[in-house]
Amino acid sequence: MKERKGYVWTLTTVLMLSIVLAGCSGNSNVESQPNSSGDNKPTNQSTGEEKPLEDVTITYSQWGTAEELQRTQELLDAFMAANPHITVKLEGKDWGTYWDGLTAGASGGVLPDVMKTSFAYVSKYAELGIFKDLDGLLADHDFDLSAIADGMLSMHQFDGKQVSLPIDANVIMFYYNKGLFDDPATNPKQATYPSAEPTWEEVLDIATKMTLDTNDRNPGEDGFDRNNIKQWGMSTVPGADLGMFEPILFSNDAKLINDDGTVALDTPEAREVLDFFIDATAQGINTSPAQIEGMGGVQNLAITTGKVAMNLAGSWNVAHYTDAAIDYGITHVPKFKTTQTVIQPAGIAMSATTKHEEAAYQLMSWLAGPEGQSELAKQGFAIPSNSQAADAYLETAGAEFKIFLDAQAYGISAPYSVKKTDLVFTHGTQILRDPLAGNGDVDAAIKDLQAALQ
Amino acid sequence: MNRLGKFEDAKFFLFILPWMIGFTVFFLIPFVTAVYYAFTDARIPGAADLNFVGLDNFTALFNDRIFGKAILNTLFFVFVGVPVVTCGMLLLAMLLNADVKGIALFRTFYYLPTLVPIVATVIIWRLVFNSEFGILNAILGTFGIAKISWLGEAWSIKPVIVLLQVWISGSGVLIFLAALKGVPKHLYEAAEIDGAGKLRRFFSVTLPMISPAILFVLVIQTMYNFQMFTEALLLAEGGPNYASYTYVYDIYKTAFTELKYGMAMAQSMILFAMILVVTLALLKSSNRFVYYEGEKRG
Repeated sequence: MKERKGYVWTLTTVLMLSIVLAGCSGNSNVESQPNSSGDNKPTNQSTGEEKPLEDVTITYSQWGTAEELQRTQELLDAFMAANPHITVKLEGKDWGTYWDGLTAGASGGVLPDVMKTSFAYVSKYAELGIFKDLDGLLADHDFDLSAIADGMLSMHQFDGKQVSLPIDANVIMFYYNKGLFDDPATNPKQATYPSAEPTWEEVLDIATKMTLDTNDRNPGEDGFDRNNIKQWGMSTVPGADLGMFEPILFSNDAKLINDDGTVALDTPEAREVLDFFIDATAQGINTSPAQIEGMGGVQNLAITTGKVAMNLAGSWNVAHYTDAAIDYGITHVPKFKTTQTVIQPAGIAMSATTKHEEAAYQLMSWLAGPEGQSELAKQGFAIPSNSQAADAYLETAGAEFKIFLDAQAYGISAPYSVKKTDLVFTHGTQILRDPLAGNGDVDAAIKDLQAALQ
Repeated sequence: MNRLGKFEDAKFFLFILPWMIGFTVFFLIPFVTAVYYAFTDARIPGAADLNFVGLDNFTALFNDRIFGKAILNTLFFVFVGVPVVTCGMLLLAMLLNADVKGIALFRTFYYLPTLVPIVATVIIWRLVFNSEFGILNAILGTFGIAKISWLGEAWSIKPVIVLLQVWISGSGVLIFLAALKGVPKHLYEAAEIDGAGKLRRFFSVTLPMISPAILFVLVIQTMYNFQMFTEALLLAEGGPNYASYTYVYDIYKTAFTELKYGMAMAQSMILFAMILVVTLALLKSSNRFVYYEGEKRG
């Protein structure tokens, strides 16, 4: 029996050892993980300078729809044509999977060489040390940072260091469905298009006229049936996307979050803004979250449903409006006191552990520099972040989109901290979405939000 | 030990080798690693700059009100949801056990939702329960009932999820149906001769005879509801105001959105303990309500 036990133990030990060794061997080429400073590398990585013309393959990862990935592939093809010794492999994921993948990649030490970043997630991931500090590289290669607005650069910095380069200058605007305004059947009160820099008072008046129940009555008229609305004047759901809503707060001298990380929505100025939308939703002029859910779930695309006259959306949404074949107009975000908007620049960062630093830099500098930005501008779907590509953008997109460039001047300075990212993308939607549509106690919700952030 | 005995041992270990490898690689090593991380401040798995923080992750959780909400929601799904879903399964199984024409067709229809991917099912449910355009509110509206925000109210979202679980409970229904088919007819005949009515026959014959199946379904459903994720994520993203935010959803957000991997592992340890305690309690108490035919007691 004793002999049998020994046999069992021997076999088990050999088995365990083989598993452990097999598990360890897979990681043998990466001995260290990125630290908080983001500057360490695997110990077996060559520390010498790569020869510029040596053939190299690097990976570039981004989120996006199939169409967006196709457009990026076209850019990469142009880059590879200009740099034949570099092959870039594109890895695409949807928005949610992308960030989970980045987390998993960071933990496994298998990050792409270059990756797309969001202005809102720069701090969060830079804190993990997965992004390369670009200051030295940019200085060594004389990259012209002056062609990119300081506000956009600051949104891609962490601890004062440039960890990501902005590659577009997406901006929030206000859109209206001209088809609904032009048709007497959907605009019986003959409401006019909103002006170039409208006030919310003006927009509310227009939206009231454009809101129709099944008997073509407007809110405020006798017999208006709030439960049977067939067309809404506007769609701005504050709690669904607080980041997009932030410039509206700024336009009334309010803000989302204080410098100390506390919620700033309890000031009289902020409450005036919140109450405006709560009242508009209560009257049926503005869509509720449930109504948006029933119309496809995306407030930015509300005007494509043919049931909403105006909505807040990003500059990138014009591609969707074109696909939906609607005739639309663009104005600046309506104001309470001053016209404001928010620029939401996506960027590109380099992995702190890349083995192909030079090739990765060449790709980054091309994408963020005048050549890549001009190619991006010629596609006509994104606003270039580099001012040297502005002409190319206007040539392709046309004068009607000049407003996107004009809007850059109204951009608020509101960089994202880790706490603000949590507020906008996690707790804010959960806690505020329904109260800000009139369904729930706003004061209690703000306190809840404050507690959640702590 | 003779040579034949050794050969038999070798064969034995050879046959269980795949299982042992799977168990070690996919359970034992991850489990031990998770326990280790639960006591660190690791932001991501594999982080080099982690520190040992003792019980800090655990104590911090008890001051986290969202974690508290996630626990309460999960306990609702376990202690209210599991009995309701199990009763729903049993009710459906009894209906499908009826001896009527075309019953095979009904059985197919009731099992079909189980075959539909849960993502598709949830999308359908979101449309059905939409407060503005949903078919449910449209039907209620014909009776003069005002629109209800089923997915937007804290009081209604959890019952809607429980109802969804009943809708996709075909597998449990099959287990109950098989158990019902296995109840000997002569027991019902004997009870009827003794003057037992339908209700009495159900409680005195049917329930005891299918009690092993009930225990099995209860244990499986309890473990599932402790780990509920997909329904909460897809139906209302854990909202409104965390009203459908489940424990595992919280673990996922803590690890992948908040990037607090050590904290997420601490949450996993607590969940493991909770499932262990409840499942053991269920199994321990089962000898009071489970009847195994042919089992000798005392």
